[in-house]
Order: sequence, then structure tokens, then C-alpha cells
Amino acid sequence: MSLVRVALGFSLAALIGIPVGLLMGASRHVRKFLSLMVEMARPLSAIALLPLSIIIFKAKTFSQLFGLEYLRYQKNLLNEMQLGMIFILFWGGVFPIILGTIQGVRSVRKMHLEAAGILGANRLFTFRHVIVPSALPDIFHGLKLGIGRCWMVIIAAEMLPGTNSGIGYLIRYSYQLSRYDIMLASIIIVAFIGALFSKGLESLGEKSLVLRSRER
Amino acid sequence: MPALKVTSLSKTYRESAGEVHALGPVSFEIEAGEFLCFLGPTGCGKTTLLRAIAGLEKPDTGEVVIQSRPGGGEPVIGYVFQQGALFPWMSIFANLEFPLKAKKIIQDTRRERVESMLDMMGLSSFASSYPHQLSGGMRQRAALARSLVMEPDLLLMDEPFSSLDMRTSQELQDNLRELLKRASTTVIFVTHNIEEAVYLAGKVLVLGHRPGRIVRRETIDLQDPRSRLSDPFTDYLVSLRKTFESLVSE
Repeated sequence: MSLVRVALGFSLAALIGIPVGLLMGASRHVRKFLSLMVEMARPLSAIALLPLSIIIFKAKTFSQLFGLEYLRYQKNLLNEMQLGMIFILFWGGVFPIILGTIQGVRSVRKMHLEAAGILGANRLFTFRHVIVPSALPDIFHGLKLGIGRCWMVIIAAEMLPGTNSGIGYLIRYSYQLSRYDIMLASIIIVAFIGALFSKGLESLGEKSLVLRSRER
Repeated sequence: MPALKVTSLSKTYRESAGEVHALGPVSFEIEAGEFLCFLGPTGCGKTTLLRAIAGLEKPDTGEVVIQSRPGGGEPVIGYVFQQGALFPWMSIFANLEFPLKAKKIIQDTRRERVESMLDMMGLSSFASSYPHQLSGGMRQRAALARSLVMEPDLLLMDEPFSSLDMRTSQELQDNLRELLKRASTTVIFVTHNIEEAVYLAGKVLVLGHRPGRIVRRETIDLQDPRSRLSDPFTDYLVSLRKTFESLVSE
């Protein structure tokens, strides 16, 4: 259950974070306009926003969003996807992704931009074929940090009242039942999955990193 | 009408440490198909001059006029950077394809032109290699190929062989001469290596430094194939060396 929530929240963060980061990296105006907002929003802990986001989104779940009211009292995947929780996952994941992407775009070497210009590439072509590929390693780094954050946020969020599923919930519940064996096992699983996430993204990003770091 | 006409070009860099008068004013002309070499010590503004011609740098004063194509189209400029500036995330083939793709040339023609260029440069077996897998000489060769595949009217080269060992760089010099015999490309080549200049150029302009200005114009009147050991060759070498020494001791 936690995995599905993270997958949703994280994809949303990546889907929005990467384009926003690309725009902020590429255009000085967009960066000026958005950077204050990002800098203010970034230190706000996602957990701190959980109560607020529950107020805003009520306890709405995906089954309600899609008008599937009748599912409400069933045990169902869609029913467990509280919008508030997805929102704070998005919040936790999106900033490292934005910052990583900006960093990537801005660290494109001037030499490569000039070469692209001389070779007759217009701005859009340069963006697609020079800026994006050369920013990829940093984007992957941002994604890796982002998914780590998401994972931390979801465990904490599931431990708060309002959930009855997920591995964070399991940790709290087993604690209440004094089943410390289950609790410890869950903690180990959490650590293991967290490591799996970042290793997975790392190996995806490896290729682009290798190519860029070897250049002279 | 000359292929390129540069009139009183000058450039001053303003930095926190103060002003650096890097270049000029410099004026010269070059005829179509000519091979012009700028020879000068480090820091004489050679690169600045080349960048200003390519439009990468905005000069403070002066004017650069490049003759348009016979059909009236925009002239195509090729530029070979000192470090090659190949894109490390693309294969050699993709690197050569880049300028053609940018010009929206259809795929079949693209492949044909890239393949024949790779063939001419002896790079065919490296088509799917990445730049970091190649030796320095092969990388510069690929960078040269990437500039030539656009069939430029004017080719600007900024010390392209200076980071290579002597043998490799002489090999590439031979390659370059060979390639240029077939095309009628106008070339401006910048170097601090006197021998390279005498071997390649039809005309050598010596730049003095701070600010860079032309201190000597020399036409290299040697028969092909040029031999680095012939007497006329060494005469040019010694004569230019003297000018060079007087510049450095100034």
C-alpha cells in the first residue's frame, strides 16, 4: 500500500518537477519569478502540511475523485489513496527534483552551447539535444533524493491517525500491540526498500553519468 | 569581393581586476579558397579574434563582413574548438549528424553524408564509439569531420591540434591539407606553432600581444607537397622565429 502511494506521489512530483526545473534552469525570467516561491516552500516539512492538506482535500480518496462512491466502504486500492497523503508525498519529492534539474541545466558547458549554435542548431533543438542530455545526471540525482524524501514522508504520514494501511501504519500498530518483532522487521523492510529505490535510480542514471564524467 | 573582410576590429574585456585590451584594432581581408594563418604567442587575442568573426563574441569596434553564398544564402561557418567540443553523450556518428539534423536534412541524405565523411577521415570503424573511447587525435579528427560535414564556406580553427603530440598533429595537418584540396573552403587557422603555420598556410599574419595587432604579413610561397626539411621551408621558419622572439622580448 505504501509503495502504491509513493509511486503515485513520486510520479506526480517527477512529472511536474522536471519540466518546472527545466524551465527555471533555461530562462532567467522564470527562475527569478519562481525561485522565491520555491525557496519559501522548500523548507516546509511535508509532515507539517499533513493536517492542512487533510483539511483542504478532506479525507477524499481516489475512489471519490473518480466518482466511484460505492467503493467507499469496501477495502479497495483506490479507496486507500487519500488525496492529502498523495499531496504531501508530492510536496516532499518535488523540490529536490526541481533543484537537481536546475543545477543540471545550469551546469551545461558553455563550450557545448556555443558548438551547438555554430553547428546551426536553434534554441529548441539545442534544448532537446544538448541541454537535456547533459543535465540528465543531475536530474537523476534529484530524482534519487526525491524518492528518498517521499519514502521518509510516507512512513511518517502513515503513522499518524487517519490511515489503516501501509507499512508506517504497521510499525505503529505492532508497537501498540507490543509485537516488537513485527515492528523491527517492518523497520528493516523500510530501510531495504529505501535502499532499493535509490540504487535502482542510480543504475538508471549511471549511463549518462559515465558519459559526462569521462569527457575532457 | 573578398570572402571575408574585417575592419578595425577591437575588443576590451572589463573585469574586476581592471581593463584588458585584448585585441586590435585589426583589419584584414581574405580571398575565397585562401588558407590564412594567425600566428602569435599565448594571450595575443587570437582566440578573441576568431570568436568575434564567428559571432561568439561581440567586438567593441569594427565590422566583420562575410560574403554570402553564390545563390545568395547565408554563409555557413564551421568552427573547430581547441578542445574539440564533441558532445560526450552522443556517438561519433550522432555528433556528425547533429549539424545536418539541425538543418532538417532528410535522414537518407544525412546518413550518406555522414558515412562518406567518416570514410574520408578514416573514422568509419569508430562510428558507434563515444568520444571518451577515442584517443585525443581521433577526437580532434572527429571534431574536424563534424565541422566539414556542413560543407562550410568559411572554416575557423582555434589551435585544433595544439594539445596533440607532434606525430599525431603532423598527421592531422596532412589530412587537413588533403581534404582542403578537394573543397574550396576558405580557412582561418589560429596557432602559436610556427612550423604548423608555415606548413599549412598560404598567408601568415603574425599577431603581437596586448593588444593583439598585426605586426607582420607573410605570404608562404612553397610548392606542394611541402617538405618540412627543405631549405625554403626552414628559411620561413627562421625568419618568422625572429619576429616571434622580438615580440616576446618586448
